[in-house]
Amino acid sequence: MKKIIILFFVLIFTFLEKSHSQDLGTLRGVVTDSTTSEALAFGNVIVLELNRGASTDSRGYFLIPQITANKNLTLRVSYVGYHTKDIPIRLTKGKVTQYNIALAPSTIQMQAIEKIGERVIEKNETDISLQRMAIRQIEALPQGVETDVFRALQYIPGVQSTGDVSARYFVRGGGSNQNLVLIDGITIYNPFHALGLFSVIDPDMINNIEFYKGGFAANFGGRLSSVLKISTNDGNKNKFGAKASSSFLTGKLLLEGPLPHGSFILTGRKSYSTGILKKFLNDQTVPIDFHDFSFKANFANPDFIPGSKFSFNGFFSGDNIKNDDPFVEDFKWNNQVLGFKWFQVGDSPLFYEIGFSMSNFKGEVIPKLSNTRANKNEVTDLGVNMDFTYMFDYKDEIGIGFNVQQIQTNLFIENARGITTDLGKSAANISLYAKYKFLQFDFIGIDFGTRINMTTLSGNKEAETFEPRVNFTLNILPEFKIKGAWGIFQQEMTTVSDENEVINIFEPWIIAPDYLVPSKSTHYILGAELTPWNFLMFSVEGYYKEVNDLPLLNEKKILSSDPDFIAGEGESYGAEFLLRVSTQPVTFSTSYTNAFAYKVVDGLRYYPKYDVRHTLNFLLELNFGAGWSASASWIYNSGLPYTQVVGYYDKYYLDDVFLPPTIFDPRRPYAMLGIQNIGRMPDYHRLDLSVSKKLRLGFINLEIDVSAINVYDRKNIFYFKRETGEIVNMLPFLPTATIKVEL
Amino acid sequence: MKKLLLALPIIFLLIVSCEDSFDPYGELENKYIFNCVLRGDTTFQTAYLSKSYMVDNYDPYSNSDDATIKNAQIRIWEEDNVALFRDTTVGRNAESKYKTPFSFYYTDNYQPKPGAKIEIEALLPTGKRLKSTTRVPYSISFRKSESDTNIRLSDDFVQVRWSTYQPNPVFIPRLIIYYTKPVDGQRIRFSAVVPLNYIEFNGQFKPNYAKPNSDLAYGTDMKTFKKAMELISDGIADKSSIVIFSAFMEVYSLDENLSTYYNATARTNDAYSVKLTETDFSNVLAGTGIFGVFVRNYYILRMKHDFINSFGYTPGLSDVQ
Repeated sequence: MKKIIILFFVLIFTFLEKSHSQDLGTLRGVVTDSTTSEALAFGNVIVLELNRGASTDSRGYFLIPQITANKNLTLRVSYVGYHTKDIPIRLTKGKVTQYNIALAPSTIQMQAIEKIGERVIEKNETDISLQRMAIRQIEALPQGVETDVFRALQYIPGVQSTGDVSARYFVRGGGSNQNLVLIDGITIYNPFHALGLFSVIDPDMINNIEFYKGGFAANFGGRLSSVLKISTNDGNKNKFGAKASSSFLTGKLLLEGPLPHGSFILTGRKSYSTGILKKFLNDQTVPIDFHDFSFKANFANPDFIPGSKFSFNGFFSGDNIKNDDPFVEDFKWNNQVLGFKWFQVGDSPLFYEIGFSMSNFKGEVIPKLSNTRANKNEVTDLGVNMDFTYMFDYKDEIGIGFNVQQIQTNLFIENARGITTDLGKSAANISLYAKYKFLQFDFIGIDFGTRINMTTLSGNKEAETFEPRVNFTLNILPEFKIKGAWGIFQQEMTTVSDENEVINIFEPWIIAPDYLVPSKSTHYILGAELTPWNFLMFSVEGYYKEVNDLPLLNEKKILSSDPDFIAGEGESYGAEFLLRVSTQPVTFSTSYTNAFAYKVVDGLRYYPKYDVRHTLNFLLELNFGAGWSASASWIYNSGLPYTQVVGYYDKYYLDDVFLPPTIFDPRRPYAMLGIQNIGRMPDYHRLDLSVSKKLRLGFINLEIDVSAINVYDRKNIFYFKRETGEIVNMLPFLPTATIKVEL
Repeated sequence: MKKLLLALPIIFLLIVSCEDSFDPYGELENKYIFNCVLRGDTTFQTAYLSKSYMVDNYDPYSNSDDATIKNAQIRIWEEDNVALFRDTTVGRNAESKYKTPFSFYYTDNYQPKPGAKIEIEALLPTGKRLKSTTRVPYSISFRKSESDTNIRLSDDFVQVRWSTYQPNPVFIPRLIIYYTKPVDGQRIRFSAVVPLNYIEFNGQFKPNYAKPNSDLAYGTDMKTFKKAMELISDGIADKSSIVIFSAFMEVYSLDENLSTYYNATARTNDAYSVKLTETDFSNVLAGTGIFGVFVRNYYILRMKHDFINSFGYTPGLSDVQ
């Protein structure tokens, strides 16, 4: 292991000292919005005379090596929804020359639906199974009460939900606890408000989103299925601003403005009415109260450290269900996240970022005088990470990183006998990653690397030390690409999830027990992308994913000596088709997914609850100009699996042992269940519509959005209450509205 | 192309207008259910045998066909001793969904011995055999030196302690006041349960009773005890017509199987999670159900006359020193 560490640092210093060609220079810069100075992620920059370009990363940075020095050139910078800008540039030979470019929005009233820039420049980018989204794209979708990132993900082929009531998502046959959610690189353990109905992430804080459905690179670790990487806004560097909005559920406020050599942003959201939740919860009133709050401050002073940017951010969310009745239990859960980052660019084409983070989740079931079992969970995750990216003159990149994570979990749960056990643990994970991006030829791009786990959280000796991964893009024709990925992914944290729960309060997190081998998945992905014209894109991706040693709650645990978890296996495969036509003012996309997912527990192979065979989505966005826009979506899913009732019997309930020895019935019908999830619910489909209008009243920007969910009031079955025979449906026809005021 | 454009909305409308039927049922699985919960304080024991059934609609309560199994042979072994159960029927109450008499098995000749390993077997008319075993819990010993024996006006707290040889014991304790009051000219015996405490909610006092636990003590404060005493005469003008005898500390010891079954059935999910299955536990081989034993232990707490008189009631027993 010592050799690995030595090699790691040798590599870093070798690349730091790398010399450059003396006839050429390197162009570097950052692209921002001229009104706010927010980074514009994934925009395009191209040196016209050389027809060479690059795309900006999630921080708005770009780097183009091997540009002719000492020559007047033109740099064209473009981003959809912004005025394209041509600027004259001249590079110094053998040096990195920095240009910071601010783009102006195309109109003040945003007549075009803003959307994220497409990385048209980097044709060989290794981006299979990667979806990039801007918040404007998410806001353009019909809203269920209010804009929600997780609900927007469910429009992406390969992403499933178990119904429109929950914001939980399942990616390519993986469980919801196999999805990594990162806010500015920090893990959020329980990213849900209100029993999983909404995500905790306030869209107003988001700058951009990168969503990896699989095959993600070696810089991401700790989850088996997907990564949702959210980069937050920095705040307006030019002027102070405020934004307030209100929906049927929450009120929100955003404050932002400049600081000396930096900026700040504060966002806050608070629920004020839970009436709308009755539509989600079968008319049940839940006395829930939730809030979230985020802040970010950044500092970049060239006189302090040239090329540096420091940011300090925090995110806090809390949910409370508080019942006045002492015989009904209370619940509370919250997330607390703090992070500090130092991003540095130097004179060489080297970027590095050093971060310190703390993520804490606490959840508690307080039984009071009810019969509910007590449950208390806490996760504290302290992390230090360093990421170095070096770009060679010939466009190849090397990335090396180092991550130390100290995780402490506590979980007190009461078993069937009423005995409380602590499943908590404290452990550290030290891991390195190294990856090489082979991008020097336009016809091919390869990203290969590995994670190296130097210690494991679970302590199991059979944990994987190496998690190798490879990802490629092959440009057969300028309009036609073939892409693929393969990789091994390991996960040592798991949730105590009950698969038979369709709604739960929160899922407690623990480090997987040492008697189980850490779960491991292998992804095989192959796809093709056809772009015959700029306005039309068709893609297809096929995947196969196998999961070994999946920790699953032991449903048969009765005795305290029985293990809490048993190991299962998983397998999923499918094909995803996507067609997108984008000609202003119309954007139309349709996708179809044919997917299969299985789990094997105790030798029984069954469909997990989120296995959907056919999914078909249509999405139409229209921009009428003058601030008017509209969207419509139609979603079709074939039926979700469910376990059939194979009979009832009159079960003896010991409601009161003090009753005299009577034979009169303390008995009630008890449903016997057949083979797990062998039945299928009826098909699910739903039409949603949305209209929004942006207008300016004096110095105020106003945005009004009216949405209608399930326009034709389809009775999509959510679940069948076996004990009473009641059929509970998902969301009915639900009109909602949001108003946003911006100063 | 025109045809396609015309066909698409028609297909869409067809999909939208379809109301799919939903059948939550699979083929009936035949299962036999055998329940026998023995009491340690009596020789009268009962057992119940039935089979699974299916309903032809979504409501499981709609079944009115009695699924009881008659004519089975049930035996219970405790070392070399065997007790036989006989089958019999009794009428049901008017609200029962079943219209036929309730059928069950009983013996009036078996009292489980503390600590004994016992086995039960039911031979069904079909020849199928259901079996189960359990171990009778030990009686507990009340620790008189550490417990109250009398209840006095000046007491702040009532407490009873006990000990047991039982490994992993589970107890259900309760404190009862026995009294009589006249009803239609007859003096009838009643009992009032003293809770752990009363919780005030919406202007009402809700009793909070003890849940099954492994504690070797039970206690309640005098404020709660007095509240329970006061509630005895709620709505009765002539308080002296109420005759108070004594308080009983009852402690039920559950065997391991019964306590697990109790926890699996009596504990509930939280009020908001939606779980589609219920925790189940069975210790019956070749079938499902419960074979368990509980033992009733009791301890008498006498009340001083001045304490009883302070409520306006009449003492029913001689005074204690």
